[in-house]
Amino acid sequence: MRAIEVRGRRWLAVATTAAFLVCAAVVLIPIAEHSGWPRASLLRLFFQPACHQITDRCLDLGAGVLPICARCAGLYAGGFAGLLMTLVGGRRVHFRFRWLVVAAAPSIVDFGLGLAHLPTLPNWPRFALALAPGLLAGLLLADAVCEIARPRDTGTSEPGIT
Amino acid sequence: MDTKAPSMLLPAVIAGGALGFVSGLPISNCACCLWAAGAGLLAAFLYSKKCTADGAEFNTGKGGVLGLLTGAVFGVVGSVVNSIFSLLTGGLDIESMREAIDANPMITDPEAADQALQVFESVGPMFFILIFALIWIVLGVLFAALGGLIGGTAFKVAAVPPDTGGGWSSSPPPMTPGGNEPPPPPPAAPTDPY
Repeated sequence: MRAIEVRGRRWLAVATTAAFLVCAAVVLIPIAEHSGWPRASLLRLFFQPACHQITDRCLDLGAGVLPICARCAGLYAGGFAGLLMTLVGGRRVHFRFRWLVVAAAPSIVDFGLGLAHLPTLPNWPRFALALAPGLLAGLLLADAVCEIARPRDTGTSEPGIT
Repeated sequence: MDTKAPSMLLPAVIAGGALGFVSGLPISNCACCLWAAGAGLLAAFLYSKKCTADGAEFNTGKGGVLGLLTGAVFGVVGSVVNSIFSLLTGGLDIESMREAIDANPMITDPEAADQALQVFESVGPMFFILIFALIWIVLGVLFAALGGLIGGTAFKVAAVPPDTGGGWSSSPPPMTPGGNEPPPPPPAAPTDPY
């Protein structure tokens, strides 16, 4: 693990804020509908190209179903957690890509079962399974953000070390 | 570095075109964001193989650029395929749109549904095709860029140094302190003053 430079921390903060806004929108849309702003239904359409939005497969936190499915919600939440962990921890985490594949394998199997019209997991386990690949993807993305934020003229100093 | 970087166009077209085509099919409209991110990852993987073979460098920044390019291809191909299927199946006439909105449990407000239908009637289906294509391209570029960034980090390739033998080389010889000056003479032995 390597420490993050100041510039990388700023870029990472921007990426983490963007991820937070997306996650917040996912949670706030049904709350806004529930609390007397029905036009928020139209905001659900912005997520339509990125998710099937089948209501039976969406989590319900009490105010109504979320605008994305449980698997997408797990991926988004995990990605946000990965970015936030790197930002708060101040250390870049790098690991082999195969770990991301291993973490995604249960979700891929569940996805394949759904395509084959076989019984699949309920929503909350599906959300929990998607958290792991989302988290690892978020950690890799945070590493990538820090890497591209790193100045190129640092000479012989070790990359990422402040 | 004198190793010429291979073209990004081929992996971008292969990955973006293939996964964009699959994601545009009506049967695979699930997890569209993963198709796009997967296209960026796949392009990064293909490009890293090419870089390894050519001895060129592949890093996170190049992965991001490759992801942007792949996302553009993905968005164009996906939106064209999806639009063709929508036009062929009559999914963009007003009655089909009304049925789709009525059957969509995500839209809970009837007034909002009426507004959407009025907008659709006033501007026509071609406008919606263009808007949908634009959204598809924007989302494709965004998610594929994320995939490309992750791929650039995961499949990083270090550049192979150029020929270090005695032949022609464009790289300058290694510099030593003092350049070509002869080494300083050894210190003189102390002499006895007595």
